[in-house]
Amino acid sequence: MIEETKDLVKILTTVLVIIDFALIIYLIRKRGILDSKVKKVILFGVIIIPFGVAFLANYHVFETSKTIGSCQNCHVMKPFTNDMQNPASMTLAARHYKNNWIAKDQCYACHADYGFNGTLKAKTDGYRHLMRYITRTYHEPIRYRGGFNNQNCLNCHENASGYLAVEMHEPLREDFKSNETSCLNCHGRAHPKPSSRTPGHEDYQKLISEFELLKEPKNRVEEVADFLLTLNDDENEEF
Amino acid sequence: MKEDDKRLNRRDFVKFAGGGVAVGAMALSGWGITELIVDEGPVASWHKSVCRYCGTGCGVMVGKRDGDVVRIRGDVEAHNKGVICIKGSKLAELTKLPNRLSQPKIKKNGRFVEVSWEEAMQLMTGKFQSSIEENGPDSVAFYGSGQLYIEESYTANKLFKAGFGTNNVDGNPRLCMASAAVGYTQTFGKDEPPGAYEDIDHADCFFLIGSNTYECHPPLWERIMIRKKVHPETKIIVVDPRRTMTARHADIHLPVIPGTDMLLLNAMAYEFVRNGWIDKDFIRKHVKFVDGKETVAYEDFARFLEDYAPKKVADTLGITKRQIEEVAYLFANSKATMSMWTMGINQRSQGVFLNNTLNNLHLITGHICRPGATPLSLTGQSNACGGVRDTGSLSHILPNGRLVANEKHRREMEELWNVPEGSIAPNPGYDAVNLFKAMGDEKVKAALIMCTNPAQSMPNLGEVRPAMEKCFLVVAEIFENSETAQYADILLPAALWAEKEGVYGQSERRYQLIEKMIDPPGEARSDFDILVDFANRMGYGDLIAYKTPSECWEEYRKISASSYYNFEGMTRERLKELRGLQWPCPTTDHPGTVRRFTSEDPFVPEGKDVEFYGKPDKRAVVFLRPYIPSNEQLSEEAPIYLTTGRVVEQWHTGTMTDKIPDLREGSGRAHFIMNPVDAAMMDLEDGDLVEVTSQYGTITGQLKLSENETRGTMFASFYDSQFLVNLVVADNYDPVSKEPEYKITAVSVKKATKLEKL
Repeated sequence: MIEETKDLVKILTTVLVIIDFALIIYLIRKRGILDSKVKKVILFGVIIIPFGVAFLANYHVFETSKTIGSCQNCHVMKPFTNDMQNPASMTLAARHYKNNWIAKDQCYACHADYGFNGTLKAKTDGYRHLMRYITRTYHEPIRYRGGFNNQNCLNCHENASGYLAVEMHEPLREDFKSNETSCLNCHGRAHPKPSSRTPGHEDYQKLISEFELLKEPKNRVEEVADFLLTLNDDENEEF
Repeated sequence: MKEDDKRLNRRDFVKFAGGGVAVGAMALSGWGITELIVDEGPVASWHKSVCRYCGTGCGVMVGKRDGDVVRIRGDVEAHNKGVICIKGSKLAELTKLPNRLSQPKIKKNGRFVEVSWEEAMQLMTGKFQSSIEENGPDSVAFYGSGQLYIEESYTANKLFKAGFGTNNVDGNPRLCMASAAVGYTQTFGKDEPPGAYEDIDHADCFFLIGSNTYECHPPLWERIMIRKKVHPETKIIVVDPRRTMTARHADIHLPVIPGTDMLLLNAMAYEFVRNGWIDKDFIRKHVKFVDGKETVAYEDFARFLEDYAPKKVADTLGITKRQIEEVAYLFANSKATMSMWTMGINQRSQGVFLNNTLNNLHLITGHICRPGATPLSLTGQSNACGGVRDTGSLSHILPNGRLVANEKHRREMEELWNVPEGSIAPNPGYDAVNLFKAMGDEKVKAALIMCTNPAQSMPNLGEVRPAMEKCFLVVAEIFENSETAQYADILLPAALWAEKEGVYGQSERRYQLIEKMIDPPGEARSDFDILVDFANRMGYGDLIAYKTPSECWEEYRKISASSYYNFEGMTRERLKELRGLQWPCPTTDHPGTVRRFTSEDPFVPEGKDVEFYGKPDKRAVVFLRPYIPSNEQLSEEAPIYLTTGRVVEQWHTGTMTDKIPDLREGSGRAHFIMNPVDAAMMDLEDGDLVEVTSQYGTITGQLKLSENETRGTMFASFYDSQFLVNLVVADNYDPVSKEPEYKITAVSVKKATKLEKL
């Protein structure tokens, strides 16, 4: 069932690959012949379709990489993703997940720099992470190089009623943009603390162990609108 | 490759290998490039520290580059789990404030002139020596602060009490924590709370009374809200005459009439007893009832409460009988109830009684000594607990819970400090209010004031400020333009926060080390260095033999071993490594004590779940405390209560925070706030200049209207030096704790035609 664009892209890419295979087989059979029809097939079979497939595949990879499952493929991410999906956890990520403040792509929504339209800096950092991971040249606890970009928070919160109700946000607007003051300063630890993500710490085993992950956020997506309405009621009271 | 030869020949192998190497080299060099170009941001190194401001004592990470502080982040490894507030977020700017006092100054002909440290210290020593010689040791005094480091308060206390022989050692914690300290001591036998911040993560009901946690302890408020967001069934009850930001987020807000909340607490106890919501087993094992003098029976307690039946007190409280019953139900029947309070309870003429009664509610319901169930008094200042309460740097106490008036305690301290018997005077010294009165009466002739701003923070400033004129004052300050600096005869430039080293102890018995990271401006010195130098010059170099904060800490932590405060296990090395430790912590392998008086407490005998070992009979005391109305009562002449407090962007008298542009912009200038209906009845409008008068004084200021102010109460904050609201605030005080009643002053309000310059 096609639910999202990436599913459509997946089907389209598969169809294109099959077509391309057919064209390549056609070309192999026509070895030594270079008529106008073969030229057209070469144009599509060797250039346009492969490039198109490469583009669509890239797009698909980027879209798939937004899922939690993709993030936790690297076992160093387990403490983050397990904690986020733990309903008893009090971290900022877990609260966003549990309360369905982010309906889908729960990792990606707050780390949007990594996506298809993300910054070059984020992509180079992502490549660095990949190389570190596959060459096993990392140390736990892993840590964020540089600072977390407030824009990831502001994408949703800026100018939301709850944000505007806190008067102290206003004089700090420029500070937030420049990351001089971090949103996390007042709103807390996003993930388990580094010491508990360190092998040997009493919490570590618990954090990396498989446990029954919720297949979807506790509140169903359809309920989000209602949930947000109740949230807004609270927020109107100048939270 | 020949068509008929399917094997890889040498040439092809080289081609493939070359291609592989090229691809590999590209991948690796690309990686190398990413390692170089993905930078660490503006921070070269991170260092753990503790926030400078309030009693929450948040762990912060200080980001430095080229010797400067460039970033501040909450410390995710610390007890505050990475949450700090806007003031803490701006600590980097605190280290860069211009126009710091950087050279000692002496007032000559009404003007400050720069002098050398030698000249300033010689003059100071001469004045103190001559005053002691001519008028006795009680003619000198030390007025300290809940912001001095432990080593600093400890040194001043030791020098004045064991050296000079005067107990005139007091400080601003008298203005904020004395009632809580006395309350805990009377109830449990020892000061400091039994619980900890961690209890917030386990409580199902929060009872916040006299605490605007949202604005005054934002990281704790955030923690409460996190608890509620993860466990939405959690109830938050707020008792406050004002509809504060905290009250606006509560499940239940009880806007009681100022000064009446003792009725509410006893009415809740009445409901507990009437409905049987009491923990009989806990009471039988761990509690006794005292009417203020003698032990009485539970039945006497129940009879005492009959005067406080909700229907009898509801009208006086200004709320309904049903509201009292509901709150009592939620408090008693939650799985774990946590009370928190600050100045709304402490700064009251019944401050101690209110503290006792809050502790009562927990003791009779058994909401104590369990995760989430505890009475936790929040602290106003960063080191009021560790620095002043625990070191005994108030005029009636000695280190680690000892009392000046107790001969045995004096002898113990004389022995520990290695001074002759009788060195410590038996009479308590002047408490804050009476210390400044004694300056006015010229009984105290020379005083050293450190790290505080009494010319703005004391109540009834109209009396205090002229009194300060009469005394020879040495003031260690960070700015020359503070209100208190104006009254100094000698100004000593003091180091601030990370410009010096020392230990902070916050609300939950946690001691944390602040390490020196940056140099103070000019010739500024730490208060510790000033005190050590002063001791030497006064001839007490042997008494204050240590020369560094580390050496002082070594002495103090060993002394602590002879008390229930025992933190001998907190070596400097452990404090450097860890995010603080909670005492008791008797050995170097002890993890610290989160919940006192429980099985994890090293002083509770093995096999016991709970023991209140601070009391000789091991029983905590439920006091029968009656409601006594405040002296400040409304009248035709003074028809509205003025209450004061903090706002989220500013801290205390604004000496530091009001100089930080974003915080200053956030708070705006201080003003009065009143309910629009009250204003209409007084013919006042939003933005009017008003003259507010009490029996103590008059002040003019701008009026703003807000429906969040309860009728009959108006509010003002005290951070603005151009708006000295304490000129009109009453200096009534609790008869036991001597803590002034800042929260209740009956005032009149009328339109003013011009802003009176202060």
